[in-house]
Amino acid sequence: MLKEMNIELPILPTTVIGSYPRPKWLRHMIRLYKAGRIDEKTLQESFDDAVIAVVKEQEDAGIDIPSDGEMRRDEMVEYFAQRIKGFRFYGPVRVWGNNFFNKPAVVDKLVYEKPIVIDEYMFLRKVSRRPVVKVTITGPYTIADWSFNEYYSSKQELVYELAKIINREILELEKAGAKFVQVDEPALTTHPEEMEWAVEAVNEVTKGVNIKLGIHVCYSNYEILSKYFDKLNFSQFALEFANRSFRDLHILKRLGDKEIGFGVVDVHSRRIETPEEVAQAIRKVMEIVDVERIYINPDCGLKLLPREIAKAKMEVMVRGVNIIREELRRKGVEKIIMRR
Amino acid sequence: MKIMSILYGSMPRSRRLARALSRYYSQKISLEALDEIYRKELKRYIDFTLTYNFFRISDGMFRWDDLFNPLAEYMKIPVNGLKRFYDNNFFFRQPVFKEKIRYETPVISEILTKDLKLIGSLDRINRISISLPGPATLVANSLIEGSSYTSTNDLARDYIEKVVLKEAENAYKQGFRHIDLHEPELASENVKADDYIDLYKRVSEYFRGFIWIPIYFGYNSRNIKILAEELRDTNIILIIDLATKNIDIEKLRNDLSKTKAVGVGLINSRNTKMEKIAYIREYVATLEKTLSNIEDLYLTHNTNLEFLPEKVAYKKIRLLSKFT
Ligand SMILES: [Zn+2]
Repeated sequence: MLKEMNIELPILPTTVIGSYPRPKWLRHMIRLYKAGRIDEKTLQESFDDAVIAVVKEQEDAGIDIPSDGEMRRDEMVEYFAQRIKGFRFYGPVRVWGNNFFNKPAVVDKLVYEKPIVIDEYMFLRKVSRRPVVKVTITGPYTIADWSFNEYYSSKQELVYELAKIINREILELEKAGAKFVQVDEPALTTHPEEMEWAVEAVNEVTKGVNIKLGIHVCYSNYEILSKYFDKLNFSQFALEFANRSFRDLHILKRLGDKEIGFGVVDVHSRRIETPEEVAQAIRKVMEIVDVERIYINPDCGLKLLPREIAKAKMEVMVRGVNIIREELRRKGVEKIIMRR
Repeated sequence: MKIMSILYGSMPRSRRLARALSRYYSQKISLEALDEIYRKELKRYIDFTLTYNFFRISDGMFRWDDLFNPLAEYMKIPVNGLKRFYDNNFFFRQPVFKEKIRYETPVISEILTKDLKLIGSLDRINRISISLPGPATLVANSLIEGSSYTSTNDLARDYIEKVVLKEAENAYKQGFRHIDLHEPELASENVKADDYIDLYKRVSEYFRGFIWIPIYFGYNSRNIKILAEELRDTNIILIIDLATKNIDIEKLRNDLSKTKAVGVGLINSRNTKMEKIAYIREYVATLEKTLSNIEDLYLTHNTNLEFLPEKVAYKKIRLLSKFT
């Protein structure tokens, strides 16, 4: 059984996956910084102000568990690789079309020198008015899969090494007061033959941790993933379903007593869903999963959408949730206790 | 045994080209200006590589977003959303065959010929290859919808007839002596190479130069063996990936026992770690000893160099050049 934490949340808590579009002015400030026209301090102040703005935007939209929108992160693997000793950057590689990624290379023994996202969490905690906020961390398997390995004798060894580092970071977050950490592992199912050991390695990050841990896996083979729901030592799986038109819901029968972070809006489409569509999707998932074990979120990070569309999608999501909450209220169901 | 080095496939785009492309997409520069940058990129790559004595190179595939685009557009075939390209963190747009291929002119060889002419490199055309997806890889990564094609075989055949033969014929006329049919699919366990042998032979009838089949992201012993046997008396040469998995040398001897020429991808294009010269020397010496039937051994990289950052790709090219 998942343990209860001493925190009450509205039924069907709404949250985000993590990233949010950077305000235009912030992108401008980053450009100025790169051109040497503003100093580090001014850039940091810009990041802080951007976090304040996007947290407010999430809370105004009715999000119960906001993130800091990952305002400070250019990219989810690069950000961590820059802050762990032993990585080196040779330059960008293309991922698709004309889109590039600064793929890091592991060239030395990896060393956890200092906390990576504690400052992010502390600032978010300070500016949010919600009892719980979400901190996201890129998982060890995805960091390894999206890096070149020049140093370790196998990928497996590298993933375990990274898992130890991420584990230390999560323990630091717990010490700092974080209540909910989400580990992002979009690459987890891409090499099915590695799944057995990958799951064990990813579990390393949860060792000794006593706060709520979720895992986000997107655009992946959920048939494969769902076989490991039980083995993966996370209480919540945040998955995309709008993107797949709410097909594959049957895999959630394998959830056991774990929770689903149910993706109800598509982050790759600019079409704004209707509240009724969202409500309909929630009704569907409620046929398979107990309502106390459902959190509601977008499919994935909202980063790639124009900001006004990202905002509209969150609002529609919350309005859809409110339709169902109203139905539940009449049955006397209004709150849940957060579990870790 | 004669030992030569070769290059094939896509190269990383330089920052200059990437910037030009995004400026073109946001309508800040014209198509002519973009074409100019493409040609500069091509010239830089050709000038660099051909100062070394590579037996042959590719055009770097700078105009390609992935193995199927913009070819799909030239075939008047729409594309779907992004799909993962085998086990890479690289994505392509999937061709959707709702209608039959319409391929009026051999666009690929026409554009490359024009580019070479404009950069004053036509005299090198016989050392530069035309790159195309192989039939097995095209059908495996496409969708067939409606009644356009009755089967994957049907599509593969039509693709060869309408696209590959047309390109081959024009390419030869223009002076090209190398065509590459990329077949990563043949390294997977999902497909039997047997189904495609007739199609490769058909291309071979049309093109009297060299036809290369790079097979990468792994090694499928069964497919390599049957292709090496069936294609031994043709002008078709396999390029095999010896860097993704460790291949037992005895197995390799057995698989390649009937062929006279082969390309071996010893340099890993999916890892930045530099191979040691001594390691390659030793490997080559072993191959020389073991593959006694091989007359021409072509040393190369195991897949597209584009999976590496540009700086490292060029470093690996310089490494390979030591064996030309
Ligand atoms: Zn995601």
